[in-house]
Amino acid sequence: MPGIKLLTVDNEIVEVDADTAKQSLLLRSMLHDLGVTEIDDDEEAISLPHVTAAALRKAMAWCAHHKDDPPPPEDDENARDLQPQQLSSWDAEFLRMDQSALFELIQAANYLDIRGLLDTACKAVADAIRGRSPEEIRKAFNIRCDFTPQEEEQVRRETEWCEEK
Amino acid sequence: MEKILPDELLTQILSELDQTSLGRCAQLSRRWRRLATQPRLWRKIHIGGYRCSLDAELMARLGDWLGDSLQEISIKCLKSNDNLRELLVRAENLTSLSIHSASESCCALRYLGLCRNLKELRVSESCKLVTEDSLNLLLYSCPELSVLEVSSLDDFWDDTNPRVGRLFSTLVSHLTSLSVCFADATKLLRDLTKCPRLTSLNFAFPDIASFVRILRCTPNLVCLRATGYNSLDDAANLQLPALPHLRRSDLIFHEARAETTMPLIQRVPALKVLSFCGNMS
Repeated sequence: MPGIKLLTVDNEIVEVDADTAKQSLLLRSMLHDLGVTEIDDDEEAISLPHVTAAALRKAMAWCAHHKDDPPPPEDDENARDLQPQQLSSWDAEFLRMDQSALFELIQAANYLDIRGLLDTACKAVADAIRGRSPEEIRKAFNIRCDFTPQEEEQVRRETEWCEEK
Repeated sequence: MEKILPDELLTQILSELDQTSLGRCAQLSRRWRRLATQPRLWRKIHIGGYRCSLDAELMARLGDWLGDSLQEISIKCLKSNDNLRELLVRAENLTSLSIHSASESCCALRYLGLCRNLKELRVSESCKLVTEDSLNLLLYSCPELSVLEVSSLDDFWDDTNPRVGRLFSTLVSHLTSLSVCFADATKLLRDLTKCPRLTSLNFAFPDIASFVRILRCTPNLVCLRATGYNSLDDAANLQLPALPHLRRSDLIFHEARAETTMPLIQRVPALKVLSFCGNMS
């Protein structure tokens, strides 16, 4: 398989398989524009200013595993409502990482334009939020509460109705 | 730590969450409140319950906040219908309304005239909700209505008024999906005429003759579910309509003589589930 070289924001050069990389719509169009087909020692690495090496490797590993997936459906918010899909056990295991790594991966998937990975990783974060109390969510995601006590009480009262099913 | 994610990505995460989790996220911090209360994340809401009072203040606040983004509302334990008006008057794009356990004094359907885009209506365990007035409103104010589900143990429609049955039948002739699960459903459907649009039907019948009579009005059914009784000895002689599009039928008999019922039932197309409980010997 031909490979390509990518220079990450933390100044690391990562070689990735070109076919796998093409699941990123950003890389696909870059490769198309540059006419790059295979590794050439003289070729300069493509610079990715918003992606860390760790997130890039993780993203490419996800793409390699999902290379035969059908393309994700068009972004239709109504369709998404109809079928809240659970993560596959492979994805759930793959995305088991600390929150900062997961957020970096989400940013990488967004920048590289890998829709399937972005959706999957966002679902994993949502799964970590669901069923927890506000205090537990703050702790899990290291969120500082900047409400005054009065505001906090007000927003608690305003959202009380949401708890009823 | 969540600071590294821009608003757009945090919003995408929030869009995966249910109403309870969104309400909790709104309590985390100012930024989370701003993002978690974006109306586009709240197209469906469930309101009501034992601890939640559906007062006018809440209804008006929800209406002002969510207004025309609301597509689906499901309400439990509604007591005062006037409060519902506060919400519906602001929810112009509502397409689906479900009302569960509304008290008898409440004629929640009085405000259906406000829901001109309504496509789906579900009413359960609510007394005296289907009246001549509410049917007229449904017929003339909700031209898009295509799905109707009503279930109740008793006494939710006005069976002393002969116009109710006729209006109901006119309404059903516009629908694609109907579910009427209560003891005297076929009485409410007594004036039913041809319903060519109806593809999904779920109903209860008191005897196999009324079961057959209703199926004669629904030539394009794709999905059928029916629950009822048969005490007729000559059920096999009833003429069952063809129903060429039927893909799935589920039939449940509470009391029936299997040997006189089976010859007819075997001719129902696409039978997936057949169950006899409490058979007569």
